Amino acid sequence: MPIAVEHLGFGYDGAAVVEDVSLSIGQGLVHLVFGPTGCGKTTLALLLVGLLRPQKGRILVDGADPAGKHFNRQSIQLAFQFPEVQMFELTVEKEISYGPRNFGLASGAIRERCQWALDCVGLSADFLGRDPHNLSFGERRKVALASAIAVRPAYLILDEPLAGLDWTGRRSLVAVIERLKAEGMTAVILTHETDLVGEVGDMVLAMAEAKISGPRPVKDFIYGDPGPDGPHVPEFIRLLRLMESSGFRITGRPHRIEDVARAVVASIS
Amino acid sequence: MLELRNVSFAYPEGPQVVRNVSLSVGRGSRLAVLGENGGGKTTLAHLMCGLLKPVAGNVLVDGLKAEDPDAVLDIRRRVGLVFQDPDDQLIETTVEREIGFGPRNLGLDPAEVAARVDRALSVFAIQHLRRRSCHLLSAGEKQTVTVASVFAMQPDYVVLDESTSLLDGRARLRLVASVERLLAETGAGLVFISMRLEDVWMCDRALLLKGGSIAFEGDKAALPGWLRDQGFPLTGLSLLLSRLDEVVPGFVHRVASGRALSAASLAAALADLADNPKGGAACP
Repeated sequence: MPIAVEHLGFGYDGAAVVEDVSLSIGQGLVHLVFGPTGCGKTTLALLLVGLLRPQKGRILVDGADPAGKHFNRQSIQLAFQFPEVQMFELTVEKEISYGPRNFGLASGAIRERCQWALDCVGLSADFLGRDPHNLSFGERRKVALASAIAVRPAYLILDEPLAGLDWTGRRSLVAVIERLKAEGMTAVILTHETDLVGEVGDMVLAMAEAKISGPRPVKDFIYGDPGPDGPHVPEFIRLLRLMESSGFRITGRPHRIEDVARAVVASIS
Repeated sequence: MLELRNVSFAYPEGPQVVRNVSLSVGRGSRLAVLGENGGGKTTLAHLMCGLLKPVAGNVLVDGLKAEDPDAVLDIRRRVGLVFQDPDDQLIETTVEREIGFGPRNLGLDPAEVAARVDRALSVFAIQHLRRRSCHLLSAGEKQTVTVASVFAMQPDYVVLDESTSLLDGRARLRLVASVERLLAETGAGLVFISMRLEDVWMCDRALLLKGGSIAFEGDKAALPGWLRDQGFPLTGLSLLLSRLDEVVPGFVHRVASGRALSAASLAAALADLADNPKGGAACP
């Protein structure tokens, strides 16, 4: 398994964030990790990329310890929850090309990567010369994402990537994840935004009380146990359940938002 | 009244980020401000509380001019801004001290400060965080604390700059309900900056900024149709609301106003439609 988590334990000041968690993350799929505010999603992200070391158990990425000295950092990249945490260059171009430059790409290839990454996140080439610190929060978020993907990692970890993104930014994010998935990338998206399952994702993991369940297929997550009132069920699915209980007939088991919209409209006509 | 009259703003040597914006929010009224990243929303928020001065036009708070240095402190007291990034705002050691910071600095006596802190902790259901360190909270918890802190100062106008962006679905509905409760109690005016139509459904009017200018202004009920016509890529419940409004003209008016758009409020509107297809219950 490409990412294997074995009996992982980690906590702060004695309070466990994850306790005896074992799971595996399959290659080439988009994983959504759901969990409420404060449940430890960011801690998990930092553990996966080796910025924190497990206190118990271990994590292996393609068989290697991500916190180890000789780990190939190019293989796994994290876009932080608060983009300003990771910005330090003076221009957007330098910021995005920092990774490719440090992994030794030729200058032509670096430029290409930079433009490609910027295009992926939906920013125009005018941004290349701008100071990342003078951008709006949402723009910085897009630049942070571009920096992470510019390295072309095999595994992309996104910590709460939707916070602060506008409608078009959200759509670009979904498109870029699908585009990278088609190229074989594995994505792990940690978010409390369960609505995202209406737009993207193959597998769902759920965090609560120091445990992580899953991964399981999206449809199984939505329509399997613990059922419609589970804590991670998105609002639009809850709506379908409420409609059914007041007598509307919903056809099929839709989970993508466009299919849900069609089913809702069909049920009232 | 919190008023902007033909306000424009540019950062030094930068392009204009707010262009000729006029708006007004009275006490007791609620204005949603939507817009894309870089659209000028945060700059507008900073102009409203006097943190930035317009390069043209006027900002007036109950008749006080923001460009008047003698009025600035009074304006800051009247207009409470919740910053977009909670870390820009949190300065105290514990949650309890953080929420008490504003009231203490207003010169209130200790008993009143304590009462305000207790009230804020209780309305926002964060009593369990009382003695926790602000800097060790999760992002969503920090955000809730910043909103609670501003309400503890009992400002006449509250400006929320994307104050639900770090919260999960349930927490977001709870925060909006707490804000709603405090507004009803204090009669304060609200400016709610957000990218989520679901959250700003609690407002009466809406304004959408594009490139610093007002692209839409009006009753929030007109917004789903306008966004659809303009080709905004909506998702989640906003998309469902917009589609339903397309096939059932006037559907938005059946959806309970004054609170966040939720599965429950949308389901209630659909049940109302089934029971009463012609009429359309007026919402409160």
